[in-house]
Amino acid sequence: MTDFALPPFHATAAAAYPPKAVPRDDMRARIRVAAVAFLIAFLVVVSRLVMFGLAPATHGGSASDPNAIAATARPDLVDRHGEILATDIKMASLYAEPRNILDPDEATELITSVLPDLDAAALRKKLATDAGFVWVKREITPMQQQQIHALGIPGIGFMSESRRFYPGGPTAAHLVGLVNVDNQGIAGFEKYVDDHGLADLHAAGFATTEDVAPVTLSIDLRVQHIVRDELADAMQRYHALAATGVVLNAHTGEVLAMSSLPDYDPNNPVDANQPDRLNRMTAGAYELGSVFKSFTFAMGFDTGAVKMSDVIDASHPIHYGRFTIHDFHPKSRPLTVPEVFIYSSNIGAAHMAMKVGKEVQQDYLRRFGLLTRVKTDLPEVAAPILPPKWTDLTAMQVAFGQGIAVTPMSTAVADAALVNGGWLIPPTFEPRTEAEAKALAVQVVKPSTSDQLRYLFRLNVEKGSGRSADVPGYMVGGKTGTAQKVENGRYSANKRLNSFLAAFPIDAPQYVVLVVLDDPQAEKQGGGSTAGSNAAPVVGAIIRRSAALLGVEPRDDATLSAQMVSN
Amino acid sequence: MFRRIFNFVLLTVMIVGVGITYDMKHKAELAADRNAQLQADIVKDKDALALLRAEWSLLTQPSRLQAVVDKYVDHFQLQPFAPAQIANIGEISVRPAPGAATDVQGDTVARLIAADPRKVE
Repeated sequence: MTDFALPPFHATAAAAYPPKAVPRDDMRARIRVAAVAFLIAFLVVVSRLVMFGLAPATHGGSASDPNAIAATARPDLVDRHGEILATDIKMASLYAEPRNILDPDEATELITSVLPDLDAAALRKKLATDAGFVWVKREITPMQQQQIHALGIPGIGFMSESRRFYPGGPTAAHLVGLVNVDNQGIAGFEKYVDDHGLADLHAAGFATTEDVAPVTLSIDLRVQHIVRDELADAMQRYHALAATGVVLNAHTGEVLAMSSLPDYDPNNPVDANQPDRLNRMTAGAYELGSVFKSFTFAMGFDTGAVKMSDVIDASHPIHYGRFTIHDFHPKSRPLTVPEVFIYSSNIGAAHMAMKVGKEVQQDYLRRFGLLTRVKTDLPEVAAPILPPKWTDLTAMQVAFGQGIAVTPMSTAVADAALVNGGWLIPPTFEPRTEAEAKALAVQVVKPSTSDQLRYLFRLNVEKGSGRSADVPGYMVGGKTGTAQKVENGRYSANKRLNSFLAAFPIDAPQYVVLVVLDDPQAEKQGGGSTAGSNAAPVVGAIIRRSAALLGVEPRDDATLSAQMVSN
Repeated sequence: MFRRIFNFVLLTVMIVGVGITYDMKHKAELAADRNAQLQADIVKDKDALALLRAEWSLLTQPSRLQAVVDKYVDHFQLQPFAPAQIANIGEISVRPAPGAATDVQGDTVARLIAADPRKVE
């Protein structure tokens, strides 16, 4: 590099300096050393500049809101059609720095002009102090924020906070669940989301400001509303203490709607922890009474111990030790098997259980999933309450639904198996295809047993206790259950738990509906208060309103009934 | 002479280089600022979008719509539909041929309805 300059330099140097001054070679060596040193220095500077130039720009401020409190983002929960069930919204919170407020009186006046519900005296006192920071109001609307901002008061500011919002309010309260003040799921599906990955994401520091993909639930918000609306209506009409209902897809186990009343508003869950607000569908275990007879019939047909053409003597109550089993509507004559079903004869069911045998009975109930805790996505699930000893009397009682308390959900799931060809499919709150369900399904009864049960369910709606559940066009089939509630260790004579378990359209069931009413009264003085006169019409109303939304096409009933009977 | 011209050229190149570099850097800074501004706007718009979506969902809640329909029942005259009102396209009678449009009564549709064995509710 320096070489090209050397000849002239060499020449001038030779002219200016006497040859003796410095030895020429020595001088050139020094210059070279200096030149190399500078070269290296400049190369370092240039390479560093290139490095800076290539590095991604970090300058220009971060994209996130500097006033945002580090809130943990949660995924939106949406229903099967993408309707929002739960979402995060950023709410501004108003704070003040009293130290910087010049005139507390004026500031108070201006703030209360926008937020009239604030206590002016308390606010004035707060602002008159010498504190560095006080909250004025948490979670104000964007409009209020705009107005306060326009007032231009010195010493106040906004912080944005992420807050969980449930647009439906109580509509799907038990299903969706709750979050605590730190935005962590503590109940329902919110807790499930946390338990399955989200908590880990939070712990690792992700899912803070980044968008998280919404989580889709299997429920249909419209059907959910219908179920809750009808249950609320029934609670009022029949003066029931509580009501719960579920709509289940018979082929996939998806829960389309589930409601339990009384419930709570997850936006303001002040009474979410009151004992009467529990999710009765999955977290309560009840003796459901006669709906259990469907299981007794199923095991009777499946083992071959009972045939549709059999006649069972129900003319006399069964005496067993101190106990007597008698019928609610005694016919006092031998009954055919379909008659036992539609007249809901306890005596008949008890005889059937004896024919099947108590070991086989337990085996079938276990297969139906009624002796174990039902497996589902919701964290609130109760275990069944089983009789301590399984004697002959127990077997006879269990045959018509006494002495064994199960969750309504497990009953609905087992019923789906009875009508869908015998496949028990665990329920889910997430979308599931039929192929996925097939992989999980277990065959618990023969398809022929399922056919017989469907015939009986339909017969019961056409001629038996379920008449008021019928919806022309949708072929409803079902079984009523009027169970006596246990009070102080004995069966109460006038406190009931009424249920109706239905499937539709019964010739090829797509959906199972279960409604349970706690202690309903007669609508009118002297009217009936059994399940047929309250739980059944509620199921009918739910099906009437939701079947079209669920994509079930109405058909002409008469021809179908004729076909089924001839089969 | 050659040296002087060369030095001058180098000096010019240097000055031009400095000018270009400064310009690039300035442009980069502007772009970075704009980028940051846009990012902030995106965050803001996303928040606004989330809020609007929540509001939309609030306004279209089935429970709210039902309450509105109940309240203005006199105005809207809306009734829940019966299953008999649902039909598929195959169940609808074929449109009569244009030539057959008029008969003695002059109303083909009424005739079709009268001929339909199903009762209309």
